[in-house]
Amino acid sequence: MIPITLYFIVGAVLFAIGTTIVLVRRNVLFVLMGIELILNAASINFVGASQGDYIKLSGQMMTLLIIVIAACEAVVALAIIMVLFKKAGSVDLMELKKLKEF
Amino acid sequence: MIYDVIQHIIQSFPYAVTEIALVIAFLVLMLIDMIQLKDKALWSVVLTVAVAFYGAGEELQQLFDRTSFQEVVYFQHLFHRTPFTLFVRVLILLLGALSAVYLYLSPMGVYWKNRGETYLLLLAIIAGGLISISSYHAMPLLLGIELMSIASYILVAARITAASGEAAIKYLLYGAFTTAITLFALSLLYPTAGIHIFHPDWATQFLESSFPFKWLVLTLFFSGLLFKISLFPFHPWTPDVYQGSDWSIIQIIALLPKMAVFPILLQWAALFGAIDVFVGGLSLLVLATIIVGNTAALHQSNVKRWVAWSGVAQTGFMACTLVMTGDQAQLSLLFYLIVYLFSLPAALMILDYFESKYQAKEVDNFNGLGKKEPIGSVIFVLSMANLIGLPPTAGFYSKVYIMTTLWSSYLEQDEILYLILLLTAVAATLVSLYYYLKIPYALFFKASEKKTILTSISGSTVLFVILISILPLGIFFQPEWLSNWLRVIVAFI
Repeated sequence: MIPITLYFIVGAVLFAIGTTIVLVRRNVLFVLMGIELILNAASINFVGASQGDYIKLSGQMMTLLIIVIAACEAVVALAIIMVLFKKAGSVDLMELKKLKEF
Repeated sequence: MIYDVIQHIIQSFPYAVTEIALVIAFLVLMLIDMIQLKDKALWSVVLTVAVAFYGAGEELQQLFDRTSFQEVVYFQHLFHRTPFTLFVRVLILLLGALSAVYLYLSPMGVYWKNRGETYLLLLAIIAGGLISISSYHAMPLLLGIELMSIASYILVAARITAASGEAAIKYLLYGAFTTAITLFALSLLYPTAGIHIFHPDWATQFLESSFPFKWLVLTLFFSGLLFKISLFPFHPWTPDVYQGSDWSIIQIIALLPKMAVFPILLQWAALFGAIDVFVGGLSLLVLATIIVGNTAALHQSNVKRWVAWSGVAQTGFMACTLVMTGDQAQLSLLFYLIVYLFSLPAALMILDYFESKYQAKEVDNFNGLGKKEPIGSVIFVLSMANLIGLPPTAGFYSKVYIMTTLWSSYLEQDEILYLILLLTAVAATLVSLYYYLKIPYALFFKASEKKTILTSISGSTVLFVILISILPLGIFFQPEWLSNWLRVIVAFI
């Protein structure tokens, strides 16, 4: 059986990559990809940690929830991005300045 | 074995009757939306209000039943029911009904009230609030919060303009990022403390675990909830989202999530209350929220941004109570929540009315309107007095309760932190005098600008919502009436 620690290392690396993308990239699509990576990191952690939780399988259940959440958020986000591209002409966070910043 | 499980699930259904009613109403509303009806908006709003009142009645019946004093855990340890959760569910449903009435009568909301999906999404937000407040396990909590969040993103975006799209994408990116962080932190807490996060054992297991960064991880875990109530590091979406949406949407996203999330945080504060690290970290966030909210609200000229920043400042005030323990703190939070959330629609409705009639989007546009609209202006002054906490309104008592609780906590525990919080709260109240009275000053003391009136909307329907919503201010004359009730409720947290 693969030890839990290895799952957690993979999860931590994915989380770090995802957070970096969210904070550094300015394109909305890339930011969304970063968020998806963080969600996947959480899924991997949950699946790995539910090794010790045979009967209740809460980890698996949480993973299914995360997949559902990621799907819903992607659907809504992509729809908004399409509207935004039509109306504002850009999906770059630096160019979205119609609403005052402070 | 399986027979027992099925039996248990069947026995659990009576506790979830409100959620089932909401789902049925959702399906019926979808049907209504598909059929060509003459008064579609009226039918939709009547159905929404009816189902909310039906649910509130059911919950109240369970609350008054003596068996409800015992905690019931149902649906395989996913949900629990205490008198406290029942009480909050009633409040969420009543607030949902108020929101539906507001949607129907809002002068600027003609676009929204004729679209069926507005009511569908409102029902989804109410259901999300109910699911998250009853949750016992992390799964329904996050499910409920996401139900609220995703429905709000769609509501903000549904106007299909450049401004609403920008507001919605900012809202969504903040929300999705904080949810992702919450889930990741939960996945780290899961092997150490388990996943029944409202179980009393969860806190003890968490404290006993030798996990090195556990307090950092717990802070990250709270980010999703703090985002919903716009507490300090997760507040920057608030002004942009408010500015990009109409008043009918602002009142939904400003009121319902707060009503659901503050009681959840209250339950946690009761579990973690006595621990220094928790209190210290949270009070830093609260201090920062009060300072940032008040200073930013000072120099706003756009009305919607001003509402947003003052909302952040009010959130900081309410979150003061989460730092303390004891029944008095919990009572003052519930008192503040009820008075604030049920009376805010009056102020928003008047701003809505002024925007529709005089195109008043900036503070300067309100100059001299007090003589043209005397009734609306006087009520507006009253609701501003409520938000500041001036005497003839119930807001006075909500501020008094919080400040006296802070003072007595300071005397009891001799913790300098409470004194700092109290002084900040007093200073913030003084500062808030300035920005809350900016529009009343413009209404009555500045010379009127020459302006053409664009539309003529009858004020009588608007007055209806204002009157419903101004009623809570009357609690000023009989505050014990509400606080005695709340004292009974908070004993069950």
